[in-house]
Amino acid sequence: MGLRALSEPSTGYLGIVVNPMSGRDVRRVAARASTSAHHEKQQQVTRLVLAAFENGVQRIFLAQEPFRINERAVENLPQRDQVEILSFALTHTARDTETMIDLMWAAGCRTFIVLGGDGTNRIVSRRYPDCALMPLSTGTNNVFPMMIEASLAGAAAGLIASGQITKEAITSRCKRIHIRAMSHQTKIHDIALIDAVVLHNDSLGSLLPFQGDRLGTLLLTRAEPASVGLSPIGGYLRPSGHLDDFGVLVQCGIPAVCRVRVPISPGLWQDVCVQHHEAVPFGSGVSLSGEGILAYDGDRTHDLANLTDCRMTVERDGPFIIEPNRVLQHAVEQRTIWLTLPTAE
Amino acid sequence: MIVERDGPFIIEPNRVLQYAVEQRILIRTP
Repeated sequence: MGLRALSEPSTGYLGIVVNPMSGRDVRRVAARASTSAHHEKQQQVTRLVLAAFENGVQRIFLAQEPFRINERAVENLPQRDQVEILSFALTHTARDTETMIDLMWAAGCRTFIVLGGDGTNRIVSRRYPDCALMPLSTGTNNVFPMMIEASLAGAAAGLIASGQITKEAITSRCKRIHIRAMSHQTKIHDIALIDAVVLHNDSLGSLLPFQGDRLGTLLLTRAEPASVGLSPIGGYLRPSGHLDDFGVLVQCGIPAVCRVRVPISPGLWQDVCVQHHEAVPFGSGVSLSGEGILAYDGDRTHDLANLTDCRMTVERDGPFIIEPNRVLQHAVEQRTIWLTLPTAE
Repeated sequence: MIVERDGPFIIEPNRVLQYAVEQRILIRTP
């Protein structure tokens, strides 16, 4: 029996997933991205924990990691005995995120704060699409994680985790791209949260930022002008936000009908030639064939030449996304966060 | 004390870029 089958949801429980390696990849060198130091993450975790306890959370689950970010974040807090740091055998791979989220789910958590990038959020969204998720950025300009003060992120997640506000009342599920294909008689089903793209003349395993002149077919759940990465390519042409019920398909390459110049990585502006773009309704399939590298949310994952019957669709079936502005506004309207004054004797 | 709306014009990137998209300022010839 798997961990997921054993667990029952527990009101007032909150899981905080910290990727200690986020904000430290090659974009610091190949582009101009900021570095997220361990100490900054530690302070973010402390503020998340304090804010969550202030807003109704009873128990918080963190996980051990090699840099002791989580241990240090809570070691001097008066509420230390309400925080559990989960231990497991570290692999120093993405598998650690899967393990820690499984353990938190098994403990009863249904609301999670994820301190990491698009990749960490993709793992959580793929594994537990019915959870409530507060994706918090560590500094690099990802699209999915929000750049917001941890005190507010923790407060909003606390209001949801404690059941004072139901996730259905104020949050919306996020869109996901489903990629289905066959690879050597094996079915593949993967997801992306923001973008799936075919890269030409590129290599599996490369961690470098994408180059504008190597992009082919690009499918986006969110095409936002005020973003960094592949999202603004669609955002400049056919915007689609978190709440819009369609994705955006952009066919890049030449001969082109137009060109956009976007920040493809922090501080790295590139030209992208565009042949065609269109809105993609939910469930409508985009077929892929030929050669190239298929990348999801920035991670080069499959060689398209090894895939057959490759088809992508956009659906709104991901986790319920906690937007602190909306949640706190709702809490004020419902008077959830008004304190009761003591009755005068 | 009084409240007035007489401070600097605040640039909100979301609104500015959305407006630029609507005006097709960001789309260039190939």
